[in-house]
Amino acid sequence: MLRFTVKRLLSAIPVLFIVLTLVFFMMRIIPGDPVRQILGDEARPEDVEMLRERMGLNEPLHLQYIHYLTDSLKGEWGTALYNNKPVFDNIRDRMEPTILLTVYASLISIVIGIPIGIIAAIKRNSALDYILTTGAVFGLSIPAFWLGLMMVFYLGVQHGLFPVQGYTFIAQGGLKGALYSLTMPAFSLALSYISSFARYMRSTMLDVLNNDYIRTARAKGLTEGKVHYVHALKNSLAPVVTTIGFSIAGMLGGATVIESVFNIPGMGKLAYDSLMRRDYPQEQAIILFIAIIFIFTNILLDIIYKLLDPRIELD
Amino acid sequence: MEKKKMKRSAFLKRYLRIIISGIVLLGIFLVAIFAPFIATHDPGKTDMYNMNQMPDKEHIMGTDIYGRDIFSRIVYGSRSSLLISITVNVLAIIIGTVLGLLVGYYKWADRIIMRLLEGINALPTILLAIVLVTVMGQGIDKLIICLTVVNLPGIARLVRSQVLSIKEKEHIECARSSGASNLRIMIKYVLPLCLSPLIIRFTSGLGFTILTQASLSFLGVGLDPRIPNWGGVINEGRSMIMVQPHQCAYAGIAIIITVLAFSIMGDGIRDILDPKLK
Repeated sequence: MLRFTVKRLLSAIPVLFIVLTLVFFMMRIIPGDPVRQILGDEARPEDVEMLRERMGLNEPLHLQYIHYLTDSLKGEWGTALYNNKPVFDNIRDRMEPTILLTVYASLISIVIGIPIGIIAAIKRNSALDYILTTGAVFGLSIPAFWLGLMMVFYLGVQHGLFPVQGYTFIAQGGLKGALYSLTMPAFSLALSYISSFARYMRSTMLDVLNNDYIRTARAKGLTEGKVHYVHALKNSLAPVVTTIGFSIAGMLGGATVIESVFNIPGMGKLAYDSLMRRDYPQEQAIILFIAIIFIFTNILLDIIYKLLDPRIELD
Repeated sequence: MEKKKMKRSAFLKRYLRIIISGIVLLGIFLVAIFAPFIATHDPGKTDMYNMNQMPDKEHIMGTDIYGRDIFSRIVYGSRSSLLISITVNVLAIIIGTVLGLLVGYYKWADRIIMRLLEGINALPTILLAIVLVTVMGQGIDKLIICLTVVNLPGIARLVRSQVLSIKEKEHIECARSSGASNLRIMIKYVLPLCLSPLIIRFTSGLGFTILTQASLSFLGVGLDPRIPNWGGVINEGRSMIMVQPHQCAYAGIAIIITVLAFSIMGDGIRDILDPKLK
């Protein structure tokens, strides 16, 4: 297990290097001069030159790249252009709502989606199966931002059940208050994942139910409940764990849109705002940070996958 | 007679979803093609005397904050949604297949291209799309390129996994020993066996692209706001969500119907081409 974990961690190094490189070059080819963006069109040429020098933009591209790589590895991610604070401080300030939103939405998706998939598989080809699978396709077709807006009107404005905008930080309203303010955003983000988990769970469970060992378990005289929940479920869960890992990246991306709908001061909104402001250091840092979360979440889930199914080996 | 009836009911059972979703999609395509005849107003014409109108006989879905007819904007919006979605998926399938064949067949390509695609994959799709769209600037052509790039890793991985299993099969060994070139083996013997999963991926990708494109337009990036599009209509209506939710509702329903039809069509095709996945 230790060998597997070390191997998996080492495999993340080239991916991280590629992400670093991709992010650097994407930021450099964005049209618009960041210096002009900060100082405005009326700025004096000497001021523009000074800031350009300070930001290292006068250096040849390959030197900028080498400095960027070494600084990133040293943990010096620079300061944001818009408020002159270290970029990581800005990320830290915005981390709480996004992480909580992603975890909340993941839990909703798992708690609702997986049982739906199990029920649909067990009741295969029944009316209930058709209703659940049709519902899952429907859920996948609803744009999260649109669902969010509809919830704002029907649940927030008309019935006053949830706050329509903003986020209550844990320090202000406790975990309960924070979760309450994120309920509508989390549900709108989760709906498509509920559907995809349900669909995936159903198909893996059906695959497992066709195996010989399930037939043997039935032949032994085990109850259907034991066959489904002891033998089939454990073996169907392993591949679902990988899907959950990929979904987390999707949710972090989806948070960009949902945070904009509900005006939540999270990392997604910071990523979007930084891009619109051409704030290179901040944007680089936030994309990199989200990629690191994604890569390490996947490593963690691979380890869980290995625990659930010890036959798995890295190729 | 009885046999014929049974045959017909089996046919219906097998193809019902494809037929129903096909009819809906045909309707949407006809709306897009004949938009100038179906739209009741000029979708870009602002009317300051008729801003934020509720649905009535003149404007069946009301008007937006600039007085533009929402129904006409949704009718015209089907054009950009379908055009972008189909072009993106055709391009992504072609380029992704070439990449997938290369990485599956040649080890050196696998090391370089797959690592690059893994890097792209570590970034959330929508965030990557936002960054790329900002890098490239506004315009349908640029949006198509960005969304194609976003779709590439998934397709290349799909083809790669197919190629890796196909290339170990006996008929490939046979072709190789009879002197067939790598290119010939890839095109004549490997590619045809990759077609089923690619067709399934193409249909499911169409709906997914419509959703991604709508999200980008909702955020105000990608398309010029003057071009009517569904995400844009929702974005324009969001400032009125507290009082006039219909300004956002109808465009969302248009998106749902289209994506749903593509998804059901994709599921129907998948069940026929690959019944194991059912």
